[in-house]
Amino acid sequence: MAVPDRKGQHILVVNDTEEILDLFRDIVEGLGHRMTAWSFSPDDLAKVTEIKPDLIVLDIMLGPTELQGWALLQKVRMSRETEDIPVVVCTAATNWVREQEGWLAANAVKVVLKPFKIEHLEHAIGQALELPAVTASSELDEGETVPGRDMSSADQSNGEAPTR
Amino acid sequence: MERRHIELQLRAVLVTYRIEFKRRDSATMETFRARALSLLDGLGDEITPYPDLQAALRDARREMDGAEMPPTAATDRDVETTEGT
Repeated sequence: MAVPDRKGQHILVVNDTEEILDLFRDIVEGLGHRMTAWSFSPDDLAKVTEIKPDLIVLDIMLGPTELQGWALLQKVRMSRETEDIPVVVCTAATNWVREQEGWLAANAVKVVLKPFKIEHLEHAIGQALELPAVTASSELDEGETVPGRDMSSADQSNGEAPTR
Repeated sequence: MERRHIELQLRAVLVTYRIEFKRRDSATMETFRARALSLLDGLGDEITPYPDLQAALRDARREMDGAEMPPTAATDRDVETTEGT
């Protein structure tokens, strides 16, 4: 699986778990990018505007009310200053992804389901950085599955089963 | 597959598994665990040259196989968002 070679980008990763942020730092920096980690600060959209990352990677299920990653994502897309920033959602919330498939597609958000294959995440990051947000399409990275969606053409060679 | 990549994959599976284990119900977790184990299986022969990583893989599998599933309850945030849909 080829990952577009576009190094040196600034990637903002938002997650409420330190271990995940550490893991993502190793992945992102291994790809040659620079990473800013946010442990959790969904209400502060101004920080995104200030940082102006080339890409945001976040989980949907964050924070005390558990959907604050989703709230942040909506704010990012609603703000004129941040609406074009590519976003990769990395989450285990398969039902949420299924429910929001239309919104994700309309807003050019790529999805990688947990647990993920490293190549799939790397590929999603590469693709999101490569494509302008306005033309990118929402899609699950190859090998990821969502119930109710025809994934027959996707690479499922790793044997992952649909999640519910 | 280079060693660094195998280490990252092992970490990715274990870290996400441990976090989701605390957050989700047994039905969701069973599916998550099946996918996690499948990813570990995918490392296959690639891990053979690294005895320490083989041991880490065995430990990871043991942890997942031996884990008692969390109760089926409304602790699954994913389920909570989809009730009635």
